[in-house]
Amino acid sequence: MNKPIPFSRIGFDLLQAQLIWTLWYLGILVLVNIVRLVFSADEIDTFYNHAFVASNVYMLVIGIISIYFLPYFVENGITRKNYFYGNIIASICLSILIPIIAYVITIFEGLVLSNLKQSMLHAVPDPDTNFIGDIFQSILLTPHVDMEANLLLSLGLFSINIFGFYLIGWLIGTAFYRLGVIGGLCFIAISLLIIVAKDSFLRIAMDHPLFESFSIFEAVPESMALVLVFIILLVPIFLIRLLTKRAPVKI
Amino acid sequence: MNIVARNLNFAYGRHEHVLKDINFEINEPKIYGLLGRNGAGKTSLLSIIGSFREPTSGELLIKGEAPFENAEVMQQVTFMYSKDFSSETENAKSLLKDSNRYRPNFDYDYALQLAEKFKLDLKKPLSKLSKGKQSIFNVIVALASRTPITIFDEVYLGMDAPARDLFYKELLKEQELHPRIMILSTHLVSEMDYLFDDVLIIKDGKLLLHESYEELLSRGVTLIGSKQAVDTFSNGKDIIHHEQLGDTHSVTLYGAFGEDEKQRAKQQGLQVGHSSLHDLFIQLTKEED
Repeated sequence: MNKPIPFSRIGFDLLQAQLIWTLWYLGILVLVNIVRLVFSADEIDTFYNHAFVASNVYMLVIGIISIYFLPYFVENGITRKNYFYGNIIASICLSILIPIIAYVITIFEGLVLSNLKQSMLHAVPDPDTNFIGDIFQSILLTPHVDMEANLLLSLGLFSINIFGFYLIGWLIGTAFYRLGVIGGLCFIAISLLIIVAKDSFLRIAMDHPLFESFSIFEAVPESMALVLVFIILLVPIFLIRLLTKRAPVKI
Repeated sequence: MNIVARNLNFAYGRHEHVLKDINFEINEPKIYGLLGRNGAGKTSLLSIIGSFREPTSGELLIKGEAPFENAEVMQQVTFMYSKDFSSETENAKSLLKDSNRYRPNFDYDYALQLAEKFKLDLKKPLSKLSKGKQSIFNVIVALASRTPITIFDEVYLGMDAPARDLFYKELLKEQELHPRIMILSTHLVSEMDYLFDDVLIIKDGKLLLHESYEELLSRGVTLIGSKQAVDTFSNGKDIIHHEQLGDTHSVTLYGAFGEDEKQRAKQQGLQVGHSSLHDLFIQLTKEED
């Protein structure tokens, strides 16, 4: 018998497919940014800061869609396991590449518009104690560091944020695929908790103030926070594998 | 390459007993016709062979191994069904390249030749093709995959008669050049029966029979003539169909019917004929009144 297809090849193919989507997304984002530059009278965000926020939603969406690669690969004789590991590789690479591409575009943007007044978006918590509001803010205002303040930390944070959103998108998509509507809705709730926990640990690690509704996390020591960020990201990974391990392909 | 099912049972969701205690063995690279009425369990059985699903109990083995999540076995099996391409924006050429990448025996040049023969537009997104052309694409992928086990589950939907005819010819040619286990599930029994070397019939989740095509046909005998003569020869036999038109009676018998018996029936003025697979299938799988 021939040797089975390695998951690295699946990862490469999945990355390629999702990178094509990403280039479309970033292209549209560049256009939006140009329109904002033209029509905005005052200061506007850099492309980097713009992408920092928008990419969360983008990664959530493509994460949801990514479960539909599973039946495609099984139909082509690839195991669910190789699909899973392949997509983990692809999503990590994508999460590293998007911030770098956004950074490069921003440098070009700066060169083209050298007199651009830059204003940075800071994640300043809202005093509002509305829980739902805090969840939405935690999605929109993920912990942020200026790329000019500390480029590596900023890129790293960007990557972790979008990787987290990709994972919960993938988890939600998988739950709907495997468990139906009710199961899917339950996993949306689980995913929100994962995101809130991840953001809170990141805020603690970076010494940013926590949202009031999530003050429960204050007990977490700063030294442990970053480790907990990585541990909390393992939760969706573990759940996705659990749900896809023996998933039937329904026809 | 072989497929063995032992006490295979399958159920899912609210569907209990989709497959019930299925036992069979497929050892030779031949064309197998899998027949059964709607909901009989054909697609479920094929889904298990194709690693789309797992058995509930019992086992299904390919070369002695369970196929589910078995990387080596899975790449040797193509399970082609009537896919929904309504949201497939990729074109046929790009998808053929994917298959070429994942299937070790895939013959890309042969796939392109088939596309030309079937007049398939390789540059159009799959979603924009007609149902018949989408079916042609599926057929091309399965034929060119050259996997030791190739399954066609009702993939001929929407294909017009000339396209189906071309497919049957290509199938036979492929089987001659690259013999493999081909399983065809179909409702077009009378049109495809000549392709089958063996026939498996499923009824209500149970395997009703697994025999060679010739043997099965020889078991079905039709007698037409007077009531008395028909009754005499059908006495004690398994009558699967009975019809009466005026004084003329017609019965379809299922089971061994020797040459000497046929001769005597003819001498008694009976018309003796063989049932077609189509008729046998209808009679053997009809619901009891």
